[in-house]
Parts: sequence; C-alpha cells; structure tokens
Amino acid sequence: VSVDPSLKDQMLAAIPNLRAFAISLTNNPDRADDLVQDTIVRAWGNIDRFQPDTNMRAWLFTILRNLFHSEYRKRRREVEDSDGAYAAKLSVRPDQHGHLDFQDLRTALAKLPVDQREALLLVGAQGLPYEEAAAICGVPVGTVKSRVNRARSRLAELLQLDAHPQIGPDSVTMAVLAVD
Amino acid sequence: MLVHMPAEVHGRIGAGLRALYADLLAEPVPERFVSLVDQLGVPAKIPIS
Repeated sequence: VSVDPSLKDQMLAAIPNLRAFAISLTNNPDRADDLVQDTIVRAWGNIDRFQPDTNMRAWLFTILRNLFHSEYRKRRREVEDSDGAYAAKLSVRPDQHGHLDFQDLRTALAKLPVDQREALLLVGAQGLPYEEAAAICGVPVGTVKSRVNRARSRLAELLQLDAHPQIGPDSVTMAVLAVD
Repeated sequence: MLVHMPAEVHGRIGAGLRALYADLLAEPVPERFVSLVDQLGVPAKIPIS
C-alpha cells in the first residue's frame, strides 16, 4: 500500500485547529488531546477514503466530531470539568482582567448544548462557512444557522453582555492578536 | 425562528471567540502528536464510527 507522504504533513498542519476545536468542545485538555490522537489514528486507518482534492482539515474535523459524539453519549452523566482542571492548566495572559474574561467565555461555552457549541465553534471561532460546518455536522445549512444564532443569544445571556464592556484581552493584546 | 441581537453584542461575541481561539492556536503542538504522525506506518483499516 502506497500513501502520499504529504498527507502526513497535512495532518500535522491541522493539529493546532483540531486541538483548539477539541479543547473548546470538551472543556478538558486531556480528553481533547486523547480525542485528537484517536482522530489521527482513525483517519490514517481510513486514509484511502480521503479524496486528495478535498479539504483534509474538514475531513479530520468530521472524524473528530463523530468520535466526540460517540464518547459524549457514553459519558453523558459525567460533569465536564467539575473540578476546574481545564481552567487551572490555561496559560496566564499578561493582562489578568483579560484572562478572567476568557474564563467567563469558556465557562459560558461549556454551558451551551453540545450541538450549539460545536456549530458556534466551527463558524464563529474556526471561521468556517456555514456550508462546511453543515457538512461536518451532517445537518442542513439552515440547522447550523439556527444553532449558531441560538448559541450566540445564549452566550449573550450567560455573559450578561450589556453589563460588560468587552470579552477577551485588553485592547493592547487585541491589537497584537489582530496583526497577522 | 432566528433571534436578532444588536450588532455590537454580535461583534463582541465574535471577537471574544476569535481571541479565545487565537490563544489556543498559539499553543505549540505537543511532541506526542509529532511522534504519532511520524510513526504512522502502512494504514490499517479502522472503521470510522
């Protein structure tokens, strides 16, 4: 069996995005890394199904998302990050206020129903088009739009946005983040 | 039915999510993944669940 060696490079290049998605989805970095590892192994085992002219990252997202849902069904009664393990492992930002606001956002994300959370992460954080997010989630585009909309509304409610001037880091850090 | 929220709130949520993601994307890839991909050999068929 011969496999294009560049496929490994494509997988490696997708790992930061897979980890960001998995961490945000599970709210638990250890589980997230196990999920990413399972995704890579599963994808490699089915690499013959990957169409070379398609998007490797989207294909990996689909596998990760399916694995997450399989695991989620098994762990349904488990309380996610009940001991704050995720928050404790986060890197500390230079601005303490910004760091605390990020924690608020993470906590609020974890409270969203999982279907809304994944839709919002794919579209609002990952920046995927609705069509691609719909393909990954295996639902119609309209369903993704509806889930994203409900997720944003719920987040606004949970974060009491009217009472907060800003989510995220301070303006200096934001300026740095905005530079490509 | 879609709920319409003020553009400012919509923008704040979007900016917060992108900043949060930028934070996660900036983390270095753990060595375990570099080794894992490096060691992938001839694919063995594993069903996609």
